Amino acid sequence: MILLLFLAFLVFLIIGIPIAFALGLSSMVYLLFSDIPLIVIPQKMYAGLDVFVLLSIPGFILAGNLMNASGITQRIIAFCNALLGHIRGGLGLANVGASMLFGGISGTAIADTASIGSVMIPAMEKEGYDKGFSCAVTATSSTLGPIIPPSLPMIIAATLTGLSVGKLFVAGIIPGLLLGLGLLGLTYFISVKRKYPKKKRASWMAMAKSFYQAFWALIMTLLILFGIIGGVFTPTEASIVAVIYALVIGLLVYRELNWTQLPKIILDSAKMTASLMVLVGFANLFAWIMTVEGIPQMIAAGLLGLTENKFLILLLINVLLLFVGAFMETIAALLILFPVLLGVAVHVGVDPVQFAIIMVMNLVIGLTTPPVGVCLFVASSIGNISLEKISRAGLPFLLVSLLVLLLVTYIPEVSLFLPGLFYD
Amino acid sequence: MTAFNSLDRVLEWAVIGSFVLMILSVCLQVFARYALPWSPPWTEELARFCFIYMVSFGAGLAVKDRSYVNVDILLQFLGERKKILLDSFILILIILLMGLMLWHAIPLIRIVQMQLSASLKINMALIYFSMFCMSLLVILYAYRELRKNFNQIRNSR
Repeated sequence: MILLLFLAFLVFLIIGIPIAFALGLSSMVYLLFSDIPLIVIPQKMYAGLDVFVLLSIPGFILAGNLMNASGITQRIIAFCNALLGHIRGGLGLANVGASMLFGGISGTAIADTASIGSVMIPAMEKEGYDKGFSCAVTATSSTLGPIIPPSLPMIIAATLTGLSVGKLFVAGIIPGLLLGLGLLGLTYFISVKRKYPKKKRASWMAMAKSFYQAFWALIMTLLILFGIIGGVFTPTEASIVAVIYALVIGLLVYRELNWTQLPKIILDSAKMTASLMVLVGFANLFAWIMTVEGIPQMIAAGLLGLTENKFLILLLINVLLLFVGAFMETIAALLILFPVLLGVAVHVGVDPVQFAIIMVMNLVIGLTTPPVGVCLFVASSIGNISLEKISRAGLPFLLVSLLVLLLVTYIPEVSLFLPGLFYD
Repeated sequence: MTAFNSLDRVLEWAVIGSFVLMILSVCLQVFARYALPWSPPWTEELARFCFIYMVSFGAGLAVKDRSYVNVDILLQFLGERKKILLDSFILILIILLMGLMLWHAIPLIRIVQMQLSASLKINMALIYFSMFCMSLLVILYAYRELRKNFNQIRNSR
């Protein structure tokens, strides 16, 4: 029976049915063969959506889109250029730096690849950077988006298990900074080896001016973070405060946003939310069936039957997740696997917050690996080069990501130090 | 198609309206906590209901925009005509699933019509009605895409 559920899901997925409906359809097939009444379909869909924390998803999406429409991307890039441009490989470094800052206002990686890539990839090409390199830097550094708070996958992980969104956000800070620094280091190393260009140092005046322009984006990140950590508002409220903040900045400070653009921006954010939430709803149904069938216990028993060694269990889970991440979309994989694997991890003594970070990092690495790496797709279509080239150029960057993942997996303090500092 | 175009407009404004109401409701919640002597108890519930309706109204429009993420490895290897045929097959499956959901949303709405929501005291049938809307709208828009596919095949002959 349960084999039917998974087989049906795989078949539906491979023939190209949207993941949301593939989850719904495979659940439907299962339900038709079982004696569970079909009324659970709308019931679990509703239950999946009726969660207050989820409201922060449209909030953060809208806030990110508003900031983007206000021209924040260009300002962040200009600031990073002024700051890093005089170092060898300056544009590459600025690309990574911009992704780190951008990660603080957007919660997804694709938005990051698309908005930074469309500016940086052509610019890097013009200055003589290898195209594969430029695309690979863009794609890999954009995975910082879901690790540096705010982060949609972390909101989902928190919703599924009742962990605190604030704790997960804070736990992502050090891993995000580590990954950012690692990528900066690698970019610099490659740039020196290939003798990529550097620019003249920007004057202090120019640097200060570009900092002032990008400053408002930084404030938004801090507002969200400290608002949540300090208990001033809940994550959902923080996302809405971010929307209002972005509106004020766009309309009054940058003055690039105007009222007539608003309906379209709101509508686009809402449609993106809707497609995500249908996925969440059907995944809720799918996960419920798994629970009824006792799958989490089976997987836990299977994994723990192999070994009870914490080190090996984490290694096994990492390998499994990297594999899944290469094929599955982040949020879908999270919805199905996080509750299942969390039990195993907790059993061998891993902190749930640390495990959430491990899981999110694993899955976002999959965004930059073939065959199904959305960030690769977006970068390759902007740069107009083949997936093969960009994947090969991305290999060293993948190694850096894996190294940071290893640190996060085996040194709990990397993710747990800050939450401990702020929360306990 | 004109009926569909007016449906587009109505839904777009319904989506924007519920989003804005959701934002206002959460804003009121924050504002009241720090600036007013009392906070209305219903803001969270109102925001949640707006969210559910925003998603339900938007679910159909997302079909039109093809916003749902899928794995298109197989699709890349198919010719133009086969691609349209497979896409039509997928749309039919989606209609089937949402049809089943639509059908079973009705008894669900009947069951919950005896309940009132905790703080707004709205009949819960009105809120669960969103599931009916969601299924119906996804079916309508999937059907529209299906018709586009058929026209394309007919014209290519």
